[in-house]
Amino acid sequence: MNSTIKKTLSLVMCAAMVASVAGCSSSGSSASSPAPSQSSSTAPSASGSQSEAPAASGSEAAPATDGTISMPISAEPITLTYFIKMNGAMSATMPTYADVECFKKMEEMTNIHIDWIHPSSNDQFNLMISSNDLPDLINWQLTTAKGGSEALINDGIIIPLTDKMAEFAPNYTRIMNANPDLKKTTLLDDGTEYQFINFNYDPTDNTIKTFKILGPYIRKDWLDKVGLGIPKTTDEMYTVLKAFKDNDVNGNGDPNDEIPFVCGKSLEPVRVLSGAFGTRDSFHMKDGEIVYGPIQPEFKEYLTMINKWYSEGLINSDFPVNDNPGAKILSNEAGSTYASMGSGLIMQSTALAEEYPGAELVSMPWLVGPNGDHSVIYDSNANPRATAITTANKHVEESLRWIDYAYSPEGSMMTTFGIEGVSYEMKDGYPTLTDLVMNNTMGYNQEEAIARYCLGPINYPNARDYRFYEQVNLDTEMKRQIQVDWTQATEDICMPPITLNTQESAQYSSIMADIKTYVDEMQVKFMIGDESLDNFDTFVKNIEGMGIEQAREIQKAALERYNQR
Amino acid sequence: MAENPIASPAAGTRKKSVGAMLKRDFIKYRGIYALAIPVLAYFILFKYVPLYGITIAFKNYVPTKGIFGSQWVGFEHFMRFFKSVYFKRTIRNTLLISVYDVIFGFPAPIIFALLLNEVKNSAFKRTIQTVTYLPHFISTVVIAGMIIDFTSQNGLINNIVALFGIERSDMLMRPELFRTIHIGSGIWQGVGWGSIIYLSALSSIDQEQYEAAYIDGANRWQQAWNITIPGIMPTITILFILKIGGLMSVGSEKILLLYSPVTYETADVISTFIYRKGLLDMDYSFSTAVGLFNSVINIILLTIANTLSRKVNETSLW
Repeated sequence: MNSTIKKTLSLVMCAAMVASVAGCSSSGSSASSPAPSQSSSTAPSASGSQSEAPAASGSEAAPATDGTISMPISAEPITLTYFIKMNGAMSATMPTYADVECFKKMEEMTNIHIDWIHPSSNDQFNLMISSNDLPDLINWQLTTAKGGSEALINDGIIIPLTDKMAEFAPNYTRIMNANPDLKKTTLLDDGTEYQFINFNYDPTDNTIKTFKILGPYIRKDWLDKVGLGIPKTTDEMYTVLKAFKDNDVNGNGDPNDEIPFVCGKSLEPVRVLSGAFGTRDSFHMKDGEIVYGPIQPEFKEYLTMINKWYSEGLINSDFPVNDNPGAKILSNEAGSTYASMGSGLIMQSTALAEEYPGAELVSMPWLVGPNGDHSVIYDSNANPRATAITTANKHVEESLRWIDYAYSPEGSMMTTFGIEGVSYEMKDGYPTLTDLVMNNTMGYNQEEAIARYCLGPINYPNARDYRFYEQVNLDTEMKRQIQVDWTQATEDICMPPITLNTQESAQYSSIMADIKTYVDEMQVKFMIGDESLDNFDTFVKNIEGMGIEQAREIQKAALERYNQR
Repeated sequence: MAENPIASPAAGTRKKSVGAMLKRDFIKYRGIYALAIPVLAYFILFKYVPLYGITIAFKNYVPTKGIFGSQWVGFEHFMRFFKSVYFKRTIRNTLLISVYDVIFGFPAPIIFALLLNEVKNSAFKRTIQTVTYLPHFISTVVIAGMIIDFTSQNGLINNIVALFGIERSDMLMRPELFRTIHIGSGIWQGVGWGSIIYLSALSSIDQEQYEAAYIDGANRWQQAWNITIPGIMPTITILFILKIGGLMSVGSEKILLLYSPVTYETADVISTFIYRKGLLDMDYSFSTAVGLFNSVINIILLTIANTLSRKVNETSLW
């Protein structure tokens, strides 16, 4: 009896201990590594709050814009299912998109009810496809599906929309026709239209605006301490990092604990530097031709520089295994890195300044290399999240009209700013977000407060009104400076979003899988000096032996098809 | 007890009408049979039914066409794996990690149980047991996080080796240390838990044997060698056979959490290779083929070990 009690007790103790250990460790390792993504999309957060729910009664019946969409879209109430990833700011305050005020209003106006399906993990898309249990609408990075979006159409998952677009999605068609370069990125090689993407739209001149949300940044106060300006070239950067290394710039009495440049396991901060050499560790453009970066002589120059920086202690020694480089910024140890604007620069600079008064993080331009190269390494418009209509959809025309509403002048306003008179007001013809969302008192941050009324910065297929960003993303000097700094580099080496057909992509991925493993492995070894750069030629030969030329031919053919779209 | 731990329904070998016997047995012990239903259902539903999915190793699996609808391609995926530049390396890494684990990891709980068995103070014994069980209950993700911290430049292990004048380093960046870290941490995590089965085997040894040996003048060492070890030998054998059967399967979770491109050289094993191919590249057929290949080798190894053991030791799984 007694021993039973003891056993039970000891078990309970075990469980408690384990739980506490688990709690500590998992919170400690919550990674904040910057994910590579497109340079023009979702915006960061800020802070604000929320107030009483608006009177969501559809009193003012929506007048059809330009006579193109007459409301209600459907005389009979219909229900559509919509598979779409839920944004973090949304899921923090509500279970589904059905609670967003603009969608409530849209349902009243259109007579179309949406059952939202929000996947909790990336596998769910593949599971849904494999189980053939299709919703009516899918929002996903369709081009990343196996075999690309062409396979989704050929396999009977989604339907081509070319012949219906003009009639049932006139607003989307109008904007796309006014911006042919963007339109081209959304088509299949044969010109088939099938998806609706998100973009920043300026309704005053009918153009698309892009935003840069990824870039390098540096400790301004450290620069001041060593008497140097913001570095513009890789050579200047070297001088700056060296100065950070040699001095006790963080002023804690230890001149050796500074990490001039911090990088993590994802290698992103280091990888970005390859742009200054006009190359990157994947296929890219060079003098109008597609080439594979790692076998170019420029790539060796780039590796040589990183190796030099690393061996002189300018980069944190554990970078190939470090999964939380942001922590070093926040602990006042790191001088420079590269990350996204919102969760990186803006959040970190605020947190850092609170903890260490005087600490100042500022954006800096992408660096210019020794040969004058100055390129970003991320392709814009690659693999956008987009909405398509599935083969299971019984109301294709109504669905198209419903989607297209978010691209109409009125729908664009509603999805971007929410409800007029509640979350925004027209001041001299300029839609101005109200204090209700900008400075809310309900304890939400600004992004969450906005998310209760409209989609705002969220990646959803609509024509996001550019004037939203003017208020949320360009409202401080720092944010304006970011757009100045991060937009200077060219997109010389970037590739358009080409698509491989099913057969090509099988062949391509079978060649590239081994090559990618090899390059991942070897480039880090070159950087940290485990492998001498004298062996670079062998490295190139090995990659050539693994069939890189064949993969390049596939890319080249796809690019030619793209150019002929 | 350990003679035949996985009891097979021995009905097949009897002389009388098997059907009639089963029927009688079934009626007599229907309550007990009913208890077995959930387990049976589990195995049938989750272990046997999904087996038909193996066919995708021989097909060009397209999710939308389904398992039955996809096109047959024969051994194409297997050939691709054999021809891959990383074929040899993943096999070598898998085998080396497994073999080292058998050499160092397998005896660890046995030795630990024997040591614990010699401890006479029961309070001390229980404390030790509880403390050593603990790591088993921590999730792999957390364990990996701890290992990353411990092996980092300013981590616990570096602090210790620095005392002996060895230079600090990020140990997870050194391919030559990866196996040691993986197997060492595995022992730390599993030694207490693994010893339970040996402790229970130890407790079933007849105490009178020890008394007899003591009267005959055997010292502690001789007692352990001549009574304890033979007493738990059947258990050791069975577990060893099972271990050999898993020689080619090294779990991917911990390696995925610990490895990085710098350590692929020693850390990339079949299961991580499958993970990258199957889940990241969505090459389902290919990774199924590799997995199947892996399982076939495991079965062969298991059979060999079992046969050998039956001949040498007279203890076997079947």
